Amino acid sequence: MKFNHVGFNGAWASTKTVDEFIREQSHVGLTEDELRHAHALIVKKYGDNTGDAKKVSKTRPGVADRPGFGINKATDTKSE
Amino acid sequence: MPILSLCSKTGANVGPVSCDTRRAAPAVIILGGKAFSPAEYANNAAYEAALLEAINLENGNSEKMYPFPEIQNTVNNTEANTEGTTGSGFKMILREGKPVYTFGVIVGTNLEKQMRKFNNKIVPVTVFDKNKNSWGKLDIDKNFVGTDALIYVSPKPYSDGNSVDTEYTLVTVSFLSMADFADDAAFVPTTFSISNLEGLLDAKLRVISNASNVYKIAVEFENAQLGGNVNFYDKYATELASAALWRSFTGAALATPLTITSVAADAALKAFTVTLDTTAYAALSAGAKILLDLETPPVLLAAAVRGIEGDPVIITKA
Repeated sequence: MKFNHVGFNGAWASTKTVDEFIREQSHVGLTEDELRHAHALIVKKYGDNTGDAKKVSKTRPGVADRPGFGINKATDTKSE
Repeated sequence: MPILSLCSKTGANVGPVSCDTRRAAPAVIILGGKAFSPAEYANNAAYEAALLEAINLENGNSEKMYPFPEIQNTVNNTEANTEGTTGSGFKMILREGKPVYTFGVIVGTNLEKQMRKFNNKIVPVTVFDKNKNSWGKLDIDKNFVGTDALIYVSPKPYSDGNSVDTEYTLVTVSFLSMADFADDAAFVPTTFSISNLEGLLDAKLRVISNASNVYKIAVEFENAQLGGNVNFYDKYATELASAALWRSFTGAALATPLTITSVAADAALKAFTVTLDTTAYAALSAGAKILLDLETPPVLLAAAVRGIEGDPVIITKA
């Protein structure tokens, strides 16, 4: 998924909440608003794949930061 | 005349064939082991598509084809047949000389270095001639393949200013079998122009800097001119700013995929900002190796990145 001059891994990004996405991609040269816009477009194309566990994490801070949480399958590296 | 004839068991019909095709002057040689199936050489369009696909494969693929540069000069160095004369004066051929050609090509040092990596290798060779016919042979399964030959590339000497011979890099192609070369010869007509037959360039990845899981990567052609590397950024800044065109692996065998979450163009550095998955990166221990590469040439080509193959960089996590 291309947004301005940045090519995001859409499959990966669709597993992240917008806040996680912004936190992890804050260095790529886009403003926060642009990142929100990019994430919205990604979710529109790939769907919201944050999953039930991710939703639970909103009420249980820290769960999403556990090692291995939310890591995509190997094939995701080839997806936009 | 003899009273007994076994001539029915010799030779073959030798009727003339109108418009029969002969080998013309070689224009390009193509090295590589691709076997074109009957469906792939059924017509020139199918063959051309299959050949271009094979040229664009990644190194290490046994079906990859490597087109050498256009031939500027051809010398037939085929060993002369060995003749003998009997005591009664009957001359006969005792041994057939095998075909050897020395092709002069005009290339620079960078390409010459790459070509010399084929030295002393026995490689199937397909010869594309000036009539646009692609010559090779049929294998036992009726596939169209190149004819096995030993390759040797002699470097261009310093020019002497007088002789054009000192301008050439010489490619000597020694065919191993006259039977392959002549008796099993086959060709496929094409509509190619020579410029269609170009190999790939190595695009070397170089780490400029990193901050944790975020790497600044330059994609360059390593030039023999020291300090003169050519950056592919200006040509492919937009196209290569795509996570889908990069790949990363880790683990002992560098075979475990590591997710790349984004790739951004960095105009100031003329490089790419490659971000690896934060969580997966954090889980790697210090000293872990990470291989970072571009996707395979077919994937790159599908994204309009033509003519390059990634030469990966291996990173050690601090």
